[in-house]
Amino acid sequence: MKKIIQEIKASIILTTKDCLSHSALLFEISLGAIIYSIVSIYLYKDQSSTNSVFYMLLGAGAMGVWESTLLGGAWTLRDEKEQGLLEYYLCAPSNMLSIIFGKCFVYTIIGLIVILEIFLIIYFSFDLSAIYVNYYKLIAAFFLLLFSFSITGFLLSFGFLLARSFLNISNFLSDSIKLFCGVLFPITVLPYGFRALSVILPPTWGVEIMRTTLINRSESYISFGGAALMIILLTFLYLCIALSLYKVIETKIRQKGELSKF
Amino acid sequence: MQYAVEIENLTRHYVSGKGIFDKKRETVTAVNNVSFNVKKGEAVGLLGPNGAGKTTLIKMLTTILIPSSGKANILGMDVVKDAGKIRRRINVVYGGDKGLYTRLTARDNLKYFCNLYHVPEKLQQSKIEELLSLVGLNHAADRRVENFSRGMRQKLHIARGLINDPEILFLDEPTIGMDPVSSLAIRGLVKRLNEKGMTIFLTTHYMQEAEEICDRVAFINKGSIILLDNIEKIKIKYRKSFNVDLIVPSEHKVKAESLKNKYKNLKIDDSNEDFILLNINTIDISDTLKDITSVFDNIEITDLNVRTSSLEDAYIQIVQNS
Repeated sequence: MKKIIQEIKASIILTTKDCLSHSALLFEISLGAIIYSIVSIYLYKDQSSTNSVFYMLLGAGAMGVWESTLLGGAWTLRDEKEQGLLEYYLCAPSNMLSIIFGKCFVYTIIGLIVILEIFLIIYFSFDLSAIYVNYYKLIAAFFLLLFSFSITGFLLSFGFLLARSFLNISNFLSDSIKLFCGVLFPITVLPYGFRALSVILPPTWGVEIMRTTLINRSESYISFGGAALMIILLTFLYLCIALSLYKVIETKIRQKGELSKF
Repeated sequence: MQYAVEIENLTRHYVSGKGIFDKKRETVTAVNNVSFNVKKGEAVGLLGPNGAGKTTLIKMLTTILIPSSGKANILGMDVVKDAGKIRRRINVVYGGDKGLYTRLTARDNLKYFCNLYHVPEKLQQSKIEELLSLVGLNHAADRRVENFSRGMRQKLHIARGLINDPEILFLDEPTIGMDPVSSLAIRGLVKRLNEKGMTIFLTTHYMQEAEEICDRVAFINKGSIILLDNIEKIKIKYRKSFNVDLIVPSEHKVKAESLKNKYKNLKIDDSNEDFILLNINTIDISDTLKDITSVFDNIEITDLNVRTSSLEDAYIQIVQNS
């Protein structure tokens, strides 16, 4: 356990330093969410219902967070593959899961900053005194949203370890998650087949829990507690799958020998 | 005797897709039925042309790749089953400038790998200083790696490769693309590590590098080991002749030409006014040296140089014939 903590801590420190040295990347992640939010406000500013604006705004924020966590969990691994670092990781006696987890953690924190930006935009653009906001629930919702996104990013990162063509798949998944997880519209409008896919994706509940804290409950299809339970159950399930699959994946990587190909 | 590396019938195939949707499968054998052992503390070189299977073999021995068949043991442990245990006791250095966090400093890179190799926190600082000093990078410890030259990056790679005090260090073309001065420094460093008892497993294209560092070399071509022996034995075995270069004052040209009676292949270069250059290719060197001393008796020979077959000559001969 001590060794795992040492590996995760090292990965967090290194990823933080590496992130800070990529100022353009941070700017892109941070600015993306602000732009999505401002565009949403202007598109829906004439809407009579504040809830509709919130709905879009939170969706836009979630898109920003998703880009951040996906970047952290998966795209940085692709860069490291190109840099030949993954082979050095595999040669080391450390667990690659710890390294990936450390990376996801850092980008989740960046995601937290993004979502705080969104909240500040909401705070200064709307009169929140008109609606009741439970700030404890709101903070819990922030963390559950990030947790759900980062675990999904964590699982996606395995794809980059296994397949060199995973960038195309991840781009597809990134767009699909925006569609299937209720980021832009409620999943209830999706056909039944797609809705089944939505309910097994943790980000669906991550986005929904944010909305239940700020939007009139009658417009949400699940309660705060229900969404929180779904996130916890699904992320726990995904985490178990990830941990149990890792040994199989490592063997597959060593059999395929494509860790240096990209 | 426990060997550092034991390889028995090791084979590795790569399967890749071809055609639409990769439906056709193509199998390439990168390493084919390779067997040999490396003693503890020995320095062994693996020489071969591009695509011969050198890197694939190193990747199997360093647990990155699983062999398709055969067996390999590192320090008595199986590369497939005991990968985790092996990784603690070995390290690998690849040539080229990849494998480092270029936006971070040399110290940051080493600290990170210290943690991945579970070096205790309290020992890390002194370990990093020791390694930076060993490779001569103390002055650049806090500079970003992106500002390093190729040679400096390679030195940092070697420092990273020594972070866990490995019992075996695998080096895959460690001086590729480096200038002669930096290469010399790297070779000197590897030689010193070997003298201290570290087992060295080196792949290289450079014969001089193998001659300087290694006790034994293996020639690999098309995935198979075609020769494995002591360097001197290989040179003797594949030596066909000696080349004698001789420089004498130009007034002795007539005497020099008298050697032509016995040595039909004698080459005389009289383009210089003051000296003539002679070249004789001979099989019996002692006989030739006697002839030279008898012809130029009491004459000051300006220069005499005898060249034997180099490892490179042997390598070219063996690889071309394989």
